Amino acid sequence: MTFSTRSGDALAAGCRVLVPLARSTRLGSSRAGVALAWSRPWGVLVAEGATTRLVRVRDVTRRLQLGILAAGLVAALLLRGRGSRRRRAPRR
Amino acid sequence: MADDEGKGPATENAAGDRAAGVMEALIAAADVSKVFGAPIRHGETLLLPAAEILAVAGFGMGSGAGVRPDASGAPRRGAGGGGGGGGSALARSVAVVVASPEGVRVRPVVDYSKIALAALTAAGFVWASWASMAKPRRFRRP
Repeated sequence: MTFSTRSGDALAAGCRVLVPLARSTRLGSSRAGVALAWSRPWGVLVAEGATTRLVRVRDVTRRLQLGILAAGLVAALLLRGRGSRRRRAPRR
Repeated sequence: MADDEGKGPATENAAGDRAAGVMEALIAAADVSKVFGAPIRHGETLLLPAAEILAVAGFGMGSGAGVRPDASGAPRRGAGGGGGGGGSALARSVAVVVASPEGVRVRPVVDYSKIALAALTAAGFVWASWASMAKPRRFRRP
């Protein structure tokens, strides 16, 4: 499994220079018979005059997906826990 | 006979190399250089599309050889082999980097259908838990 961060070609936009950065994850190899490659944007380095800053590229869809699924899972586990406590409690 | 025996592994190696080549080409589709698309210039504004790319590929192959007697009882050699593989490459827009005289901003690309599917799945989790809580299992006594 390998992780790598690579920069793309620098782009001039007015007085700024943008350098795109991307991250890649590779799993397996063609010799092993199975391979997976996952590449996603990481950010853009913005150079303006003497200052350089990183503007992160965030995957909003992925974050919302994971947040909703995590909330659903937690709610389901809480409901299940409440249900099992209620069943265990002695009836009056 | 010696030629026949030597042909199997050589053919298998060639097929393996070809499959590995196809797999490498598929994995190269998710190369990190493909994440950012070609920049689009509109006046003083520069648009840089960004996407997530996932490529998965796999293959397998096998061969075998054996000897068995035919109808007359004479030994007969047989060999066979086969293989298969598959793969997929997926790309999804993540954001667009907008560089204008006002500054550099990242505008996210939101896939509402994926979010709706996630919400339905989460609702399914909650419903399944609620249903199991509302109707507890009843065991019949003999």
